[in-house]
Amino acid sequence: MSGLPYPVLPEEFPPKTAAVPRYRQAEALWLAVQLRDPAPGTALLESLATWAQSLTPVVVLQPDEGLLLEVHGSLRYFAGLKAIRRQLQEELDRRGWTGRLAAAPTPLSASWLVRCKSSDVTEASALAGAIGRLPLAATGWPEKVQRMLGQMGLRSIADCLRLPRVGFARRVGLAWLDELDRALGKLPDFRPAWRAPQRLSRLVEFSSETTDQAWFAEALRGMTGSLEQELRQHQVQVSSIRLVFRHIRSSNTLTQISYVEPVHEQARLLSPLLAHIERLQLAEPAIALAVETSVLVPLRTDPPGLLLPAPGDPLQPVAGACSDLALVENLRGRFGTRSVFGIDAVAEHRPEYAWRRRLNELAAKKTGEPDCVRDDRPLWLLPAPKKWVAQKKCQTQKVSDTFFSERVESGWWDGQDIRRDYHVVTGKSGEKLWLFRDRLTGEWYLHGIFG
Amino acid sequence: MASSADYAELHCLSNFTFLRGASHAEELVGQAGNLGYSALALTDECTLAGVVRAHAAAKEYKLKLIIGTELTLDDGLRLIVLAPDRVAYGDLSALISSARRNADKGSYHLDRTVLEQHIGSSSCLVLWLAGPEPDIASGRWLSACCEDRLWLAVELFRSSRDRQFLDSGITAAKALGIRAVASGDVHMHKPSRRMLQDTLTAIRLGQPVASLGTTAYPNAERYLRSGPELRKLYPRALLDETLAIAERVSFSLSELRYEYPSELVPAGTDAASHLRALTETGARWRWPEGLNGKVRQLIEHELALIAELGYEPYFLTVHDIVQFARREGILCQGRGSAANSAVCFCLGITEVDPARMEVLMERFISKERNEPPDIDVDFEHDRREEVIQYIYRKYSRERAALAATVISYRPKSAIRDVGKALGVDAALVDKLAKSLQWWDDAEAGWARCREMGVDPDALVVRQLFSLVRTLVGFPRHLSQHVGGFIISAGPLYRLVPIENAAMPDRTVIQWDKDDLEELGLLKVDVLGLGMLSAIRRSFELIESYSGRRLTMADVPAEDPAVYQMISDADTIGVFQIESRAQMAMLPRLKPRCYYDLVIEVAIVRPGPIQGDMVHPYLRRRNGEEAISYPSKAIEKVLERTLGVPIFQEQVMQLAVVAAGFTPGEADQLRRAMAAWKRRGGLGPMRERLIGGMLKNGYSEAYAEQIFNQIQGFGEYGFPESHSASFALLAYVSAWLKCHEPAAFFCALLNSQPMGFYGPAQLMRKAREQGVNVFPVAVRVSTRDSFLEADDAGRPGIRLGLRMIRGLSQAGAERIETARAQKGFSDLTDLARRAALNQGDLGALAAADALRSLADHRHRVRWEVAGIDCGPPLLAGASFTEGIPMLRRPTEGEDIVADYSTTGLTLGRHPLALLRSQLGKLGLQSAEVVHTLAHDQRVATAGLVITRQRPSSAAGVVFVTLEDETGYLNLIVWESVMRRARSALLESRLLGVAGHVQRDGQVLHLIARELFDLSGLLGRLHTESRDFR
Repeated sequence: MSGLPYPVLPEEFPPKTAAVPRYRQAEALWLAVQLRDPAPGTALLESLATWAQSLTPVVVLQPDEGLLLEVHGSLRYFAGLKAIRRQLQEELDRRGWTGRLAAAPTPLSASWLVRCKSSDVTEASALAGAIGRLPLAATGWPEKVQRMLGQMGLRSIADCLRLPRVGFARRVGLAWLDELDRALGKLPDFRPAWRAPQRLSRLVEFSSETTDQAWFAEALRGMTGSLEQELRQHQVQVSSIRLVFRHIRSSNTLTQISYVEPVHEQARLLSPLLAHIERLQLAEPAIALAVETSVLVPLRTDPPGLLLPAPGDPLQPVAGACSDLALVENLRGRFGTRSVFGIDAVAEHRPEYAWRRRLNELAAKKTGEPDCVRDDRPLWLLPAPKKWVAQKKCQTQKVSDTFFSERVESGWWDGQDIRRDYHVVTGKSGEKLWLFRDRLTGEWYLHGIFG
Repeated sequence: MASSADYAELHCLSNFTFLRGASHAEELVGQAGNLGYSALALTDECTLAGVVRAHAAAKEYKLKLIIGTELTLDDGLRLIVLAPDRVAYGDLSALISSARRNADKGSYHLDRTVLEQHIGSSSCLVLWLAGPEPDIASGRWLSACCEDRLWLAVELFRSSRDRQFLDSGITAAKALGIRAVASGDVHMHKPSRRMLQDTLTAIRLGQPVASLGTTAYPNAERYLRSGPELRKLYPRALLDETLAIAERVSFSLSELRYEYPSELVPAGTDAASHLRALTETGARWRWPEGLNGKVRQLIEHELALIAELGYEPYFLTVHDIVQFARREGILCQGRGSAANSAVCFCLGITEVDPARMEVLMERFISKERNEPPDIDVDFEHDRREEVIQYIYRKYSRERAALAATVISYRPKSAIRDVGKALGVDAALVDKLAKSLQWWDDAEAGWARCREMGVDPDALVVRQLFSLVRTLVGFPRHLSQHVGGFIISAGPLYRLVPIENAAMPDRTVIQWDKDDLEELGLLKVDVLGLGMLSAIRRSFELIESYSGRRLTMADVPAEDPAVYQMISDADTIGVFQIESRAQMAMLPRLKPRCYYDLVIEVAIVRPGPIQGDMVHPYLRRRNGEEAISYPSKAIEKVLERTLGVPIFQEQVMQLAVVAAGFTPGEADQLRRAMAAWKRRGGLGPMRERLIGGMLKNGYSEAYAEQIFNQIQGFGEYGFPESHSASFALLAYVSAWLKCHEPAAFFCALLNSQPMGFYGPAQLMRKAREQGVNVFPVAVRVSTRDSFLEADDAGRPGIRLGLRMIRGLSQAGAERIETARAQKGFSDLTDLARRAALNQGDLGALAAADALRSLADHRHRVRWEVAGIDCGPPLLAGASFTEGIPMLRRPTEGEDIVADYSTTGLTLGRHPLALLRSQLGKLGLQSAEVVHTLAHDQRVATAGLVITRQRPSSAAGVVFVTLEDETGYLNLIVWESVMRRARSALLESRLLGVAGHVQRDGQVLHLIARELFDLSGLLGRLHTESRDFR
């Protein structure tokens, strides 16, 4: 019978006489949280899950729905289910969210109960009765399955439980029979607990308060060396590091150092940190220095970007490219992350929108992106167009020459519609100016100067 | 006209280049005329769909219109092809047809070989769109192909590189030894269409306008620029060259001459003699006792008019098609005054005896207009395809094609597309589009926004509505006309491009019916009519159980019982007179003869209603108002409608007899009437009409009255000739309903979807008329419903398997086949021998069609789900199972299941189960409401079966409710609708409080409050037929 599309089950499953021991459910109590408003997106659920880990280590994400918390082990610590529910409810209120809670001995039954706004079931013996009363819709089974069961006159889960098991499995599917069994605790229902994204940190306490950069550098060397070891061990890397200088009398001094791309090697980790402390002026000596990583990300071995040629490229040795990145990171360490950036050309007709800062990567387009850099426009524009009062010496007949004009009419969709005629004009000192006449007002503006 | 621009635009796209062109062809022509252009070439991309409109506008603006097209070859080569003469036009049309026929609907496919075949030896003029960096190799190829008919088009749009583009264009042209010419790649008539053009680009590319970047045009320069602006951009020589090219073009669409198919005329005779011979033969068949003088005179008049205009082949063509249908047993009937002519009666095209009608043939055949007649022939809707395929076979696809229908943007589609292009949240756009009804204006749009919590003053919302307003009416794609065929003597593709339709094996021309009319091209309308199918099926069913053979001609005429039934408004299912409005009119008008039906069909129309002709007619008919005529001539025209003009023909005749119009001028009046609301322009007609009437001695007051009635008619006047054909079908269907209700309702069921009422209402009516209806049963039902004798030996209706939602057609057919061999012993036997899958079995079980094989619906479903539909290896395998505890369905559950599977129940009406609940809410039944007096207040509730909002009813919505005791018609005024819009539009079970309006037998409930009670229905699935 191995070719059957479904397993042939004995009428009682598992049979009473079977040698296989019946699955014994460990004592458990699951609290289901159903988020109503806002919509339970992953980010929201993770944020609530992080908080919920203060109640229990076993928190399960229910995508598009809410959370499941295994709280049996926490009952004693928090003085019972009622108190846990209250804490959860308070947290939801604090966040301004609305949601519903229901508890049951199995995760599935808790989910079903919460969907139907049913009350808690804490005793395993009461579970079958409680979920039996639920309508079929509580199961969330596919519409096709529910429709077929409805056509058989079944309305509640109890109606399903009354059916012959073999017949149910053949008609409806073994998967749904298993679900019923999991809900009733007759089959195990393993739920992997959610784990918050990990960060690493290191701390060095000094023997006395200090502002000595040599001490700091030494501490950083030690900490980054240790970090590299652990990062390698777990095959992860970091994209930024926070330096925390602890003081005795005042609050901590914090500095964020971002890397151009995720790193794990000590040399890359350390270099911008050292560059940073070289210029550091602490208001108060530090008694300890800590490094805290950003969220760990898996170690990638993708080929690097344009400025990081693939290994083996004879034209541009890796070391050189690495030194480019290191240079950027060092500059950022020295002048601040926001002060060092690349630029992207943007496919836009409006000049002021035709480029943008690129913060996290070097200014290099990826292969395949269109070349948007235009040689008929100045690369750098004034921060804002400056009204232009014509000076005699730079007035030139070319202003009225159509062939030297460019008409730009664009941007109505975002309320920043422009209608301009641009002209290239030679200024007093022979410089090439980029002027435009606003077609609505007729006024002239200087927008850029060619290099 | 403005002063000359000394320029001819040779590259211009209208909105028939879908999602690129941002102006109507008429707008482009108008603006070119205003700017004083010497000529304008309409060069939509691989299409001539917009040229006829442009041609009509060009005549008005006295602008030279050049016909051309923009083409992009598969290898990227771009060019404009212009037609300088008729032969070149044929080549161009053939080229477009070839490119379109080689690709799926909406696209084209063209390579250099095909291009060379079509234009290599033609006289077409070619502009090479070489772009900023001309590819000299391509230029050489084109130059060799086109010789001295090739130019290089230089297109400048105020970019910073214009000088470079101009220089490279001129240099390339010199290198190839050809001339350069200026052109504008025009996409819009004015720069103000820039927003719309950007939006169209975004829609075309399927991305928000904000992320178009440099894909959008940098400015609005692709518009029709003035002479001074062009002279700033282009050297004089390039502008002059446009004039030289325009000078070489002499072709105009007015030159197109249509040649009728000639193969229907036997050798040795001509079309006129053949038509006369057929007419004479037909006359002897129609009037075996001989023709009376009037008919003889009519036939001679018509034949003379047909001969004078040379339309014999047209009548012969329609005759041939109708003969085919008759040979195949397909019911058909012609419509229109040309159809309802004595000649067509003799030819068998119509059954309407012209002796009984006043037919104004000039309505469709006009000497002044030199336009062809337009005969519509209705065929059974489910056999029309046979007729269409016959036409293709007879004339070939090269000579016959369907006319196009231009599908244009409507508010909902415009909101969806523009909303997406503006990056508005998809859910909001969807909600907004769904919330708007066809009658809603911008104000309603603002109101819907507010209801959804959207600020109507927000920039994006203002932009959305502004763009939608302009976009509505823009053509979006070409579809096939419902049945308008154009048939020609020679290859049709040299007259108009032909392209593939979405349906396989269908081709359409690129012009719609208005275009054909504008150019005076012949069209035969092969239309589908559900009622003809239903009548034919009725005849077959009657024959199947009684052996009595009936045809339309055999149906006894002028049966008083039929007219009594009609006068009692007992007309559910009857053609044309089953609507709420018709039913309300029937007891007032009380039709007693065929001609009363002709009036009945025409009078419940927006024209007579808005022209305020209904009440005067009814008063005169009831003897409450004196009938008077200002002259004998007018009496002759209006006598048959008691002095009140009801038909479109009467208005035209009035203009002829009272104001001295020629029939052709009267037809112009009809057209002006049809268009004045959109375009105005009745002024000159008014002067002409009133002046003419005064001159003929009519009082000014009477002349004004007639003019106002004509104006009220507007575009909604209904021709008597159509009404006459419809009235005939109305009578036949009423006779069937009256005397053969089982066959009639069974036939209607098998012809669904059609008419105003769904299966539930039809079967309910059948049962009220004493017809037994039997449920679908797998052991007896065939695919179609059929007649089965009841216990008393009378015909009842056995519902067919096709009623079951979800049952495949193939499955139903296999059931019939397997059952014909041997009856089914049990469910497994059924499943196995009819090879049914779980989907079919589930559908049968849910519809309770397997009751005879199992206990009750729930158990049947269980049993069926347990049948193994897997490989035959397992067939017969048995499994040991326990017995399920499945309860019997309740009455309510059965009703819900019936509605969701077959759309009707043979049990009690669902509201019978809710009656006590409704009673507690103080809601009366329809039966009780019908006993109330005028003005009495009442609250009631019913299932919504139809919602209507006639354009003539000033914003009023009419709703028909149904409960277990009958129907009730509601009138919902606009003020109530505004207050209770969602209850009105979304309720399945609608509660209403209001007061009774009673006029004799006719009762309406005027709604004051509406409330949605759909929650009481639970899972009951009901459907209404809304706004048809």
